[in-house]
Amino acid sequence: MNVVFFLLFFTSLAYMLFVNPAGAVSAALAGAENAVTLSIKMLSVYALWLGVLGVMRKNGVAAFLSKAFRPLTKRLFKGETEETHSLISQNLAANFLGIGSAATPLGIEAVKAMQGGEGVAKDNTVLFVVVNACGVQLLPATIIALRAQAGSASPADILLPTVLSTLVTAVIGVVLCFLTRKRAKA
Amino acid sequence: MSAVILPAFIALNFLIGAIRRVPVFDAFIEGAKGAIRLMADIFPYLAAVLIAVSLFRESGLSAYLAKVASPLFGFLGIPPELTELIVVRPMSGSGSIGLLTEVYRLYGADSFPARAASVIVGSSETVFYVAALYGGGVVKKYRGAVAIALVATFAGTVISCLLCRLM
Repeated sequence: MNVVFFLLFFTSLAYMLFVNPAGAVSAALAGAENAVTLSIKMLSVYALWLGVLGVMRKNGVAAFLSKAFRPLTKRLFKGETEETHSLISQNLAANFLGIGSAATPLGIEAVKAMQGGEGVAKDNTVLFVVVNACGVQLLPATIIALRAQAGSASPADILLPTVLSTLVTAVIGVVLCFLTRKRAKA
Repeated sequence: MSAVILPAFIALNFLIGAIRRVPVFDAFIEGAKGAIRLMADIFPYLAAVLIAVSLFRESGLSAYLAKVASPLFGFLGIPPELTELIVVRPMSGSGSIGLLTEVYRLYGADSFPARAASVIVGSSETVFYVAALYGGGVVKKYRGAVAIALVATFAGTVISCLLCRLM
């Protein structure tokens, strides 16, 4: 992340010094402003979903979801506690259902639980972040709505290729994780 | 369909809670308590990523990179019209949605570039955003997770275009 951040920041700024030095600071501030607006939006999302999550923990739904995904998470994320498996399962369930806003706070908690205060990402954290960053979503509702708005004759005809593509992407991500893991140990 | 999922899911949770005699209000408060702390932990990461992305786009570097990459993309079966979208996709969710609607407007929502773009955006995630957010305050070193996600996403992009030709 440090390398990516440096490259992105430095090359953009250096390039702007030649092309459009006057716009550089305002572009940076526009980005920061995006972060502020987004944070406020997300704070409201978190307040709602962490609240619902609190209810899910007490009413048994969280336990049910984690049981449903347990065969998958047990195989992928070895050596985690029951509580962590529950968080991972709920995150995956929310992703599959296309409730990205609910998946995020669950995912952050799962990462915290897996790391246990450790600063260097553990194998399971790497895998978990990769799975999430590959976007395991099964219902591209926003895209279908946008296509419908743009006057498509059959806006949902991208559903099947999208689902196939997202699954293939996730599988490639998982396989790469396991491959790089072995090499690091050898 | 998806409009129903969210409210139904929340309502169902409350109903099950009530049936099982869970103090629903207390449980909600208990959960929602974490929201501000979570946001405070994440904000600096969010700001850093979004500032960098804004600079990258405003400088014109992302458009330039898209131009350079387009012959390679063409070789892999990716329509050249989509190069900037593909460059922006892992960095900015709203940016890529903006470019997607631009593709709809320019080529028509049922054209091949538009369908490929839809599948590409729909089957991927904002990699840098997820990485920054999920690590929020805990993970200092990612050990290749970002690189792996980017490689998988790019492979997914090539596959998306291929699937759109077939289906």
